[in-house]
Amino acid sequence: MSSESLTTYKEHTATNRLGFWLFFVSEAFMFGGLLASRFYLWGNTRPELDQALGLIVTSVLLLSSFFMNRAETAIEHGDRKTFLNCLLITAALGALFLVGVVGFEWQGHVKPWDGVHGAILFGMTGLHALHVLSGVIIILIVWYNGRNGHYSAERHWGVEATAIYWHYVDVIWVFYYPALYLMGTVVG
Amino acid sequence: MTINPPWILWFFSILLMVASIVAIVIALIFFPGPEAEEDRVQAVRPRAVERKVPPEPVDEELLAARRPAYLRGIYVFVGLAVLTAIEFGIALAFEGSAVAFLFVVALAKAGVILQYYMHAGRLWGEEEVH
Repeated sequence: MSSESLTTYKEHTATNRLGFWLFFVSEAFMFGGLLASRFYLWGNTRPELDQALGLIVTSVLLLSSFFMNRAETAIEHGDRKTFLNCLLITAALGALFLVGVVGFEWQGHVKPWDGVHGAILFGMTGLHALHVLSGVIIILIVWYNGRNGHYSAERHWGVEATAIYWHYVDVIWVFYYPALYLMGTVVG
Repeated sequence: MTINPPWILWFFSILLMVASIVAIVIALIFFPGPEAEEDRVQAVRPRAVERKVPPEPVDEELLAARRPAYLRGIYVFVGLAVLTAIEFGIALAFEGSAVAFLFVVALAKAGVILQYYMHAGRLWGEEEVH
């Protein structure tokens, strides 16, 4: 690849990066709105949720972020095998998180129509789960592209964008987890 | 006519999920991105061969430099895990009265992720050394 082509690519990537972060700012208003609603409607209370399950899904998401970072680091250093393996592990952990939230937490005693507690709990976890689902799909697409020889140590904006998106989903959960599971006293 | 709330919730959830999947597939087909474009321009080998042969020579020096970067990822993960354990323990010990502390811990965790995992510094042109 010529140095001129690489320079152009880096300039494009810098622009893409800025646009992507602006997208995150707009997303932050949406997630922040829900977080503010939680404090307005719940105050210093929270519904009784399975603490063990909350800690497990949080740990799973944290671990997935670690593997996503490892995948990105691997492609930055031309380590294609580690890159592909870590992407698959990240997608699997993301799917596991979804199973924990949708398959177990949503089947608990709190339902979406149970007043403010149900509405906020399902609104926050539902919107977040939708982002996790789209993240898993994007990771699988990047894995497929990587397997077909796309991306290199110099050119991997697709991987970087996917990694940033995945970590952003993790950052959201960093605030949602204590707000839903840890803050306030249990009612009902 | 009454509308069953659970049914309508499930309907819109599934509709949203299907719509997002369709949007991603359409984006993938019509906007493959700069990497794919470059691949099309430079494609001289069939895909089947491309899978078996590395697309470019392996840079041994670059590969050797990956160890410190992997180690940093491990340190960050351990730090986040410790902070999560602290917030869980504090929440159990001081139920209902540790909101401010939990919020500070969450801010610290978010800061670590933004800096080390999301590379916020790259927005200001701080490219990390490979």
